[in-house]
Amino acid sequence: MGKKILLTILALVLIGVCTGIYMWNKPHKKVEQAEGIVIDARVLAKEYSTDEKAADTKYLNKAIEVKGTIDELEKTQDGGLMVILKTDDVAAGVQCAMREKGLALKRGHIVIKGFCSGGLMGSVSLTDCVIVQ
Amino acid sequence: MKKLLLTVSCLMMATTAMFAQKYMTRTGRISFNATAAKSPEKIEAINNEVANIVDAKTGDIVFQVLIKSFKFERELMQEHFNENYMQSDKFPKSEFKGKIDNLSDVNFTKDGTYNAKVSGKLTIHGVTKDVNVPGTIAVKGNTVAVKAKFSVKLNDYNIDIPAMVADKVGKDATITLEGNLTQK
Repeated sequence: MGKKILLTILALVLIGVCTGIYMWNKPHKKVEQAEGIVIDARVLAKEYSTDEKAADTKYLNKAIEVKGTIDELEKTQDGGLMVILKTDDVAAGVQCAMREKGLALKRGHIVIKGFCSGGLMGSVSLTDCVIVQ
Repeated sequence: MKKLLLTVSCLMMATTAMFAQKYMTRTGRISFNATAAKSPEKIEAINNEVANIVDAKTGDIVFQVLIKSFKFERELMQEHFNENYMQSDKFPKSEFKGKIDNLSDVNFTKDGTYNAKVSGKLTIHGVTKDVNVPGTIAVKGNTVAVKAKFSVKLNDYNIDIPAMVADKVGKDATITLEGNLTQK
């Protein structure tokens, strides 16, 4: 009887420790694992410039698969890549911070998937992005 | 005479436009460190997606940062930061809006590094406070590099740190800001 209780306690402690270790080493969320909302860059930018609050409730922190044309490519200070997609309004763009460093991209049509982090000075910002196509 | 007046006013408008110099970037870098003195783990994160505008004519300076674009080494910390401390679903953005107080000391047409005194309103976690931040502005051709380092009290911005993690998360956060802006 005593042995059984001891074993149960031991098992519980083991589960606790394992969960702790797992939580501590929990991997970052990957956008590939999430179902993305498919949208055109122009439409997304328009929604954000029209009503940021309403757009946030629809898109903030969600995985977004955005289709568009590359307008500009910028390097971040840590060597990452920021892709800016074309929209109808230069002041209201869609910016995508890519997850992988050292990506070589050619201008043209592209489909990018990333997490929406919100509206930033008139633009929509996606982060941890990957190229779908 | 009327024509002359029109020409003069047109010329004046053109010159104003020429001197209405705005510098911008959307790839500024901000990092913070809120590690408590004896914490075994570092509480720090980096955001490489800072939007920053400096108006050389008026001295207006704006920074905007999205909370969800802060990257931590550990996902668990990133989750706690977003969900518990910063409530980024409710307050997705932090912002600084201010002015360079000693604008006359900064010559945007001459290469060099200038000390800037900046004051304005800092919004974090939905709370807005007046702050004074010293920094440097380095001018090189048509680019401007802005640097600042300052500290904020988490308590001032209603960011509650539970007692359980008080030995890890400090009462203050040191914020380091760097923007490389180009003329637009």
